Amino acid sequence: VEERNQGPASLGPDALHQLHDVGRTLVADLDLGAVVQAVVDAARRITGAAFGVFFHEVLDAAGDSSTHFALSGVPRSAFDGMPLPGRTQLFAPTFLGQHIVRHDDVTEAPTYGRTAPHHGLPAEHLPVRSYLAAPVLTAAGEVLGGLLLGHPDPGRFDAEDELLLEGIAGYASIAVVNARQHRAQTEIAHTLQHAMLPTVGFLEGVEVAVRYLPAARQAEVGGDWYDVLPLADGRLALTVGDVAGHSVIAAARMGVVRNALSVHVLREVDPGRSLFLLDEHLRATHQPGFVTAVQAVFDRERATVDVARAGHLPPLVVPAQGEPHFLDGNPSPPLGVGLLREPPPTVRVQLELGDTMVFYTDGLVERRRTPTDVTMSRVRDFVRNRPTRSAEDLCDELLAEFIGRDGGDDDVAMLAIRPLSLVPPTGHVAPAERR
Amino acid sequence: MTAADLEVTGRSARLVLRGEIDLLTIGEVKAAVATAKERHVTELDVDLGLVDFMDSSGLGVLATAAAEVERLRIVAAPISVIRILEMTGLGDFIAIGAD
Repeated sequence: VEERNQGPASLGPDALHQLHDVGRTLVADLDLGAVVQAVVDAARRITGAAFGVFFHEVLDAAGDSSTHFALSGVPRSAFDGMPLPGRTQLFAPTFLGQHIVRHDDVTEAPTYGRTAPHHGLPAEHLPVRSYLAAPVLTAAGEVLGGLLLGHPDPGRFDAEDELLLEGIAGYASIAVVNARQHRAQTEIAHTLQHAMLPTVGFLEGVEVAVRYLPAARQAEVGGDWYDVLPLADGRLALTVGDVAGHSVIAAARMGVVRNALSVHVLREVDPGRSLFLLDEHLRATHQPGFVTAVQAVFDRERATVDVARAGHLPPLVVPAQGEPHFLDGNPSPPLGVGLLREPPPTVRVQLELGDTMVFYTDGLVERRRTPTDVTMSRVRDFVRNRPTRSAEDLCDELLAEFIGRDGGDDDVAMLAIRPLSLVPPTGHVAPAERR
Repeated sequence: MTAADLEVTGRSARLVLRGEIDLLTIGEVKAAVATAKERHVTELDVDLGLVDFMDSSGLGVLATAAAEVERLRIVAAPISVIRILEMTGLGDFIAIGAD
């Protein structure tokens, strides 16, 4: 029989305070790897254990489960080649989710050494005398894993440590379930987003680069999108937009909004008028939330771009020669909230061959604690000092400088065009190039 | 300190925003706008004089609120916020010279 229910059965103010800190940290994290490590580190620190391990079940995309572990107080190499804990009498209460186990000296416990092949700890295992272990269970009783703590000296864990570990195991359960759900949701959103954004094939006379970058936090997708639509007369319709919200709902709404806009773009080539039709469409179909977008039509015969904006930041023009600048003029309000009274004005911009125009979403320039217009000035200064080799390079360089490899706080969509040669009218209608 | 304080007088209200208006505080702003709507406010002044920073979620709530009341005025906005309001099509709601 385990040595349970001895000593004080309540926690002192210090212990409660520590437990509270652990809980607050754990439930705020959504990354599974970080959560399990934080759990075992906290458990070891708070109970004064010499080492700890959190065995936990990880589900793969197919729903199959495998046992992983996170260690604390001991290098991973100490567990190289070590078997996972077996179905022994000592471990049963932990991995079957029954109750906490505490021993002043585990080597003298009646459940110890009963099971072949090791009959106790494997020879190469760390020395463990004091032993404390708790199951990590969901509210529905599913066993998520087991938290095992040890110390080479006997008698190191008391009843308060037992209560503390029970508390940590409770927080661990919430945090692991949160992280699992978040991961599953993120995967769905990624798949949706990826399926809905078009790929751009070769287009004569113009280089078109597109990018989509999810936010850094668990690679979270949002509602940002881009679109490139070759029109029947040879012109190109270009869109960058942002549907409010995050994750699956935003990704799904983005798909609806993008498709709706492309229908209007095909019927009504003036960018301001197609945005106005989209606004009407969103209100008529009672779609909640607001949408910002910049809609442009690029004429390959003349290298002109007709641009209209609704609530969206201005595109950046990077001339082959001369000063980079953001497009002048104020846009109409955002779409979908009932603020638009007339079509957003369409402005015509004449590009020279080799100039680049960059459309982007606010994720590129929005930073916590830095006014957005300040970051926009930095973007302008950044491109001023580097000769543009291609639209693709410019996108890569901007993302590297202003977002970094791992993504920013928000998702980013980007589209850059660079006319390379004027394309004479062909007299026939080119097939739309979409996939 | 709260990020959003609403003071309702009859059908008019003044919404004072403070500090950083972003994803962490936007819930408070939304709640205040919802209260104004429940209390049938038709004229809403949004005071941005104490705002240090506002991101696109703040702009979104302002845009939505502007569509829901008869008259929305943005007062005392710092210059950086004014620039963003103008660049995102909300410049018409800025009250010039009003407090």
